[in-house]
Amino acid sequence: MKNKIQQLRKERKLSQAELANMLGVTRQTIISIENEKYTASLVLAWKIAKVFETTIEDVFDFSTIDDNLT
Amino acid sequence: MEEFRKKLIKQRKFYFILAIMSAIFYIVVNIYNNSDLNSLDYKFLNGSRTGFIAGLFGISIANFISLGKCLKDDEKLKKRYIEQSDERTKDITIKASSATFTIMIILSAIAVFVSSFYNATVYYTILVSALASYIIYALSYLYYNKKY
Repeated sequence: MKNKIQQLRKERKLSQAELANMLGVTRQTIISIENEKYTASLVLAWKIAKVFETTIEDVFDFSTIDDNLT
Repeated sequence: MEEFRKKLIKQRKFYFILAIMSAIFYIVVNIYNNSDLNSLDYKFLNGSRTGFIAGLFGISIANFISLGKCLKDDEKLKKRYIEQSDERTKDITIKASSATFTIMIILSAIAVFVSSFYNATVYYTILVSALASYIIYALSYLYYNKKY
C-alpha cells in the first residue's frame, strides 16, 4: 500500500531505526512498509499516524483499495 | 516490559527443567537398553536417540544461557521483545507455517500412495501420521474458528 512514511520520517529527521524503536517494531518492518511490500496492521498504522501527529488517511493511500461496499 | 520479563523467567525455568529431563532421559535410555549390541540397526537407532537427546539438551542449555544474558541486560531484553512481538515477523511465521503444512499434507498423501506398493508397515505408519496431521489441523481450525 502506498504511503508517505518515508517523506514524513525525513521531514522529522528520523532514521528508520529510530522510528522502528518508537513503534516497537524491527527496522525491517519499516523498510518493508516504506517499500510497499508489507501492509501495516490497523494498530501499527494508528501508532505511525500518532508518531507523525496526523491521521491514518494522511499517512496511507487508500485510493487503490476497492471500496465497493454493499 | 515487566510482563515480558516474567514470561522469559518462566521460559528460562522451563529450559532448565528440560535440560535436566533430557540428561536423565539419556541415562535411563542407556541403562534400560537390551537390544543386540552387534546389530547395525541398533547402532544406528542408538546413535539417532543419542543425537536427539543431545540436541534437546544443547538447545535447552543454549536457550537457558541466552535468556539469562537477556534478563540481565535491559537493551537485549528490549531488542528481544521487539523481535518477538514484531507483527511482520509474526506474519512471516504464520505464512511459512501455513505453506509448510500444505506442502507436508500433499507430500504425505503422495507418500501414503507410493508406500502402498512396497511395504505395509511403512504404509500404515505414514497413513496414521498423515491422518493425525489432518485431525490436528481440523481441531485447531475449529478451535480458532470458535475463538475469533
